[in-house]
Amino acid sequence: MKRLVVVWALAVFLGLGAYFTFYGVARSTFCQGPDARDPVCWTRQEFHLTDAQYAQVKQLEAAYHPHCMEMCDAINQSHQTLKNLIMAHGTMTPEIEAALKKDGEVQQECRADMLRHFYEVSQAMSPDDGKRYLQMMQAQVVEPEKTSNVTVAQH
Amino acid sequence: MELPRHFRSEVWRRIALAQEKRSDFWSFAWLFQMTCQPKFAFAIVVAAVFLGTGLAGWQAEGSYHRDMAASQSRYIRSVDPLANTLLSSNP
Repeated sequence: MKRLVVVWALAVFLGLGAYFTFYGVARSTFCQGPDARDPVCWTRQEFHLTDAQYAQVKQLEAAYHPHCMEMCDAINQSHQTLKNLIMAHGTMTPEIEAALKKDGEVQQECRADMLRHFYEVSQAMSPDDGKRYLQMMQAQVVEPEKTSNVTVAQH
Repeated sequence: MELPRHFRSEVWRRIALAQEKRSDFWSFAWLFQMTCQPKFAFAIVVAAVFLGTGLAGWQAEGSYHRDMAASQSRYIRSVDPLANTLLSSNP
């Protein structure tokens, strides 16, 4: 009986030891996730960027970021105007039509700028990875509502 | 037809043997016997280590894929003003 307990206790102890050790080693080496504080870090791992490529991508992202924030504000403002007009009128008015048109234009402009940025980033990568990057990002331009909802749901 | 001389006693002996074997199984006597043999005891410990390592590898890989998916979402949010706007309006 004693032998049975010793063998199984040893098996459990070493099994758990192996689990925690290997998990720790894996998560800090070959299964290490990207830095959560740096959104651009994902591109480095996903597209196997060299240091020079990563530096270039970071530079492009840094240059694009302020413009992206401006576009966010423009979309927010346009949405808010539209919401206010919808609530202020009980029926379709030329003002609402104009606001709808403007909202569409703002979004279209954002999509065009975003696509321009995607092209620039893809050119900083190797041809194959650049193509894969565009393949992944094109959905943001082609189906912005669908992919944005997925992004929202994931958070 | 005439039965062999020890037929009855043989039948009872076999029944008793079968019952003993069954009760041995459920009392895990085989487990005691197994751990008494060094090579089986060693095999149990090695199997536990392999199981632990395999499970850790599997879970580490799952966590890695989850991290990558979350990072991809963060990246998209950082470059897509529409996703950003939707997220801020649907907290």
